[in-house]
Amino acid sequence: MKKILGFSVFTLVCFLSLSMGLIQAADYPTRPITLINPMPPGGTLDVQARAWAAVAEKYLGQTVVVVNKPGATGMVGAVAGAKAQPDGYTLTVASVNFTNAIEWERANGRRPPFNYDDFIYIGSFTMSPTLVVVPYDSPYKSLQDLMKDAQAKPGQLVYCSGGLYGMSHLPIAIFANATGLKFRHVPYKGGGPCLQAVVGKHVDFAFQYPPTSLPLMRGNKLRVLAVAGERRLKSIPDIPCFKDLGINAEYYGWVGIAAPKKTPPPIVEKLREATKKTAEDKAFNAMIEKPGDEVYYLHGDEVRKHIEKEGKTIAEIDQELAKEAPKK
Amino acid sequence: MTKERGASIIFLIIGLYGLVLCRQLPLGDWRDPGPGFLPCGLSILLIASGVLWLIRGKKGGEGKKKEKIIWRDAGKKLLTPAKILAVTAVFVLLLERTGYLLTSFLYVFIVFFWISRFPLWIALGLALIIGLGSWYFFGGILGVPLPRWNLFNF
Amino acid sequence: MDVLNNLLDGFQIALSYKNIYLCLLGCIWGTMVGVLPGIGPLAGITLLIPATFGLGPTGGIIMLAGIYYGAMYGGSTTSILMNIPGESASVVTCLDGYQMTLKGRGGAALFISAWGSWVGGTLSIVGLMFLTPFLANFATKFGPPEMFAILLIAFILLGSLGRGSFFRTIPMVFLGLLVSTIGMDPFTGTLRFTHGVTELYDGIDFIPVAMGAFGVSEILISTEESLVRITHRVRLRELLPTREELRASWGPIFRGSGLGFLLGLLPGSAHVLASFVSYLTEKRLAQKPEEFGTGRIEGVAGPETANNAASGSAMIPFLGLGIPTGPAPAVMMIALMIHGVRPGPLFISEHAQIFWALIASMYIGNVILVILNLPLVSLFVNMLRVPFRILFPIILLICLVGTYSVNASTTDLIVLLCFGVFGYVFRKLQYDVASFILAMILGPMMEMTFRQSLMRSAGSFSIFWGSSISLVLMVASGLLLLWNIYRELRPTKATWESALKEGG
Repeated sequence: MKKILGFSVFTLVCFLSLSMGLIQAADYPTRPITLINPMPPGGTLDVQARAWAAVAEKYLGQTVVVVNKPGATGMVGAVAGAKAQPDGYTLTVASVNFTNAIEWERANGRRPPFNYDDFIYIGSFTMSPTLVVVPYDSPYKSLQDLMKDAQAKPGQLVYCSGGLYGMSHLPIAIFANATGLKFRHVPYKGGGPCLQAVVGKHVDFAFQYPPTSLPLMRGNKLRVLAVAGERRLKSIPDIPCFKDLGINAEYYGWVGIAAPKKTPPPIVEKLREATKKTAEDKAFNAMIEKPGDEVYYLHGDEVRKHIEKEGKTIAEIDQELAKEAPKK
Repeated sequence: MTKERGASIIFLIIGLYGLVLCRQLPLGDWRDPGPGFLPCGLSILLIASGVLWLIRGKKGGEGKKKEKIIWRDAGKKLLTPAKILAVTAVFVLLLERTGYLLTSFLYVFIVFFWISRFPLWIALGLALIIGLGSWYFFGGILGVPLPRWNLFNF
Repeated sequence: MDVLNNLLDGFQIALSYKNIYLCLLGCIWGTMVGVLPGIGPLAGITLLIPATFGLGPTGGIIMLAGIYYGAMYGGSTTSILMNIPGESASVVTCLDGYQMTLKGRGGAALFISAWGSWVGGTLSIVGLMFLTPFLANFATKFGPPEMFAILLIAFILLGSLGRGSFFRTIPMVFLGLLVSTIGMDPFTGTLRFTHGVTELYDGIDFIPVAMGAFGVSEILISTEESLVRITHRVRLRELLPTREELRASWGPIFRGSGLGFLLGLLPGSAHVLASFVSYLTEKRLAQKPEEFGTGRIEGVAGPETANNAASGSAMIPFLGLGIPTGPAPAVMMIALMIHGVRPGPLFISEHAQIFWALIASMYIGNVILVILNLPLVSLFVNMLRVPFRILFPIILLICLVGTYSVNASTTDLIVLLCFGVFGYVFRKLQYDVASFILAMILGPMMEMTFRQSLMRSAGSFSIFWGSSISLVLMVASGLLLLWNIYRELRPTKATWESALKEGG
């Protein structure tokens, strides 16, 4: 008797859970969505992701709750996101840090805990280049000045970054590689302290992102020498970009959304549509542009292609960096 | 086995462990410390502390009272803390699998029933109140992201 | 005077119904978030950013700031009553605060802590008001060598923390420093002691360690013999501090305000540093330093004031320069940016209204908090009278949820338990766990600033006395070290007497 009862309960539970799954696929979303952010709260990535969440709610019809799962430059959260249920209710904030982390692990001979293809990319909404910043009364009036000085004194100019192999270190490494210059690197914990070091003249230069650097530029605490990308920025049209100067060293910080790889296509389509609409939404644009960034929408497949491209560049530079680490 | 000796042995073991592992890291030197510099240095210091105290202990430390560890009492004393640890460990392992509500309810119930020795119904009732209450307070009001049981989504 | 005029304008804006309401909301939310261990102001602020979207920049930042220092007020509650640090800056408060609770003086401790927080907070706002432009620049002069010098001073002070034998503290300090090296080395990317566990890449988070080593171990120790804990019935009169306690607190409160204000300017989590430098300073200055750790009110008054003062001055680099020095100001800055306000050197001139309204509401907020917290004292103290058999799982649950809330990580919970055992073992062995934890906090900062300095100077040590600030600080630390050694070696009265007896 007990066995029959137990078996019936078991069947009932299975049936209920399966049917709930089916119901959910039909008119997704029917309950709140969790967005895992692998970066610590409060950073620029976090705020942009939260801006997306706040606006996408309108188009998805359900609340999007952002949960921070920081650790290991985004690896911890990414692993959690990759292993989540592929039902469209757990999304992950994808960014260039995916590529950063994976390639760094590979360059050091370790197997990365997750891979690019553990995710389906929904889309991305920013593609920000870094800015070359120097202290306000630095002797360099242009990027060429800096480069000339660097050539004359190899290994003497000091730069800071927000963290080893992170979003503000790699652009400089790529730049140094492309121009054959040598610098000294002082890592800090995060972009904020690094900017503070530039303002306080503790380092010679750094590559930081527009939202945090532009206000300081306007306040005459530092100067921007160039935009490390292929286009000038709308907000500072007078500042040359690397392409203008003939330097081929591109690196972009991009932020987007991803879902676990087995998420059913109709749900992915719905998410992609919502993301596209969000990227075009005026309120969202205001939230991104006010701090000084720009919205730049890429469809999920284009994101994947971009990752391939940047993956190659980053892998190369990471190999170089890994070799340079002291092995005494 | 005095308390000092016990602690010294622990320091020694940890120091040795640290030393063994840190040798694989590049050391650098005073002017350019590598990642292994600090851990190796500290491991050595720990080992030194451990050894020094063992020696000092043997010589009889200048009139300071050594406190012995009484093993017989230890067993009895450890029982409840061990139980608490065990149940909490189960909570930790289950948390992300069965969601906060269920896990906390089970946890509080087991603690009340098995450790605090409340009668069954009272334990159940209190566990329900505390489980639901904490779920609502932390998850609902404070917005802490508490895990959900994927099957039923609470 | 210009400043006062602006302030009056600010008050006009801040005293609108809407803004007072938002301030109140922020303070209440902040207190709840602060009381609950682990969650901390950062999470509270981040969670509410979406709620501020509709509020406009002034209202939004008033509310967020309210959360920030509300959390500083609340953080001491669980530290004092349950030996669970509410957030990083409250660890030191556990040391004497909890001992006071055990003696029945918990209410007084809470009271003085609220009072000190008010004084510290208010004085720090006054400083903020007058000195922002000047100090913001000052803060940027602190580069790695200067920071290292300050940390060195704190470290030397730490050496004198241990209650009782020097020898029981030193190995714990070493252990704390060693544990702090776990994780990825920020300079070379090599992994130290991680055994391939991805969650350990960033090292062991300090909140689970503190909650485990203090809170969980406390429960484990308390339940050894029996599940009954005798708490004596607290009458209203006993909730208030005695005249002696009040008198003893004035010094620490003022010193704490000053220390906290200065240290809050520094980058990193300066309010943690502020609270424990204050504690160590008070201990050094006290007439009977051995009693620290058994429930001296100075050990609560000083740190609590310092951490509130530090949270006020931590806003200075952010408001004056647009550079946040810690995660909480960073989030506030970004909240402002979402509202289209760009914090930066021009913030005060371009958005004077918002700045002054914010300052005015900070005064208001501090007052609200003191009014809020004082009656809560009796509420909290009475909550503790719940029979221990029922209370302890609730406390454990609070620890667990609090830890989980920081990183949504089960690994942190495992760390919590491990350090609960660790704390239990070492407390039974009578070794000083507080030194371990404080060393764990100081360690990474010291290593980082040391290596950053050397990297910058390409290996030359002269960078440590290069700038005037670092020179002064290094000299100060040298003097402090000498003084410490002198005090240890100085013949005590007892040895003099026995020497005299033998001689005569």
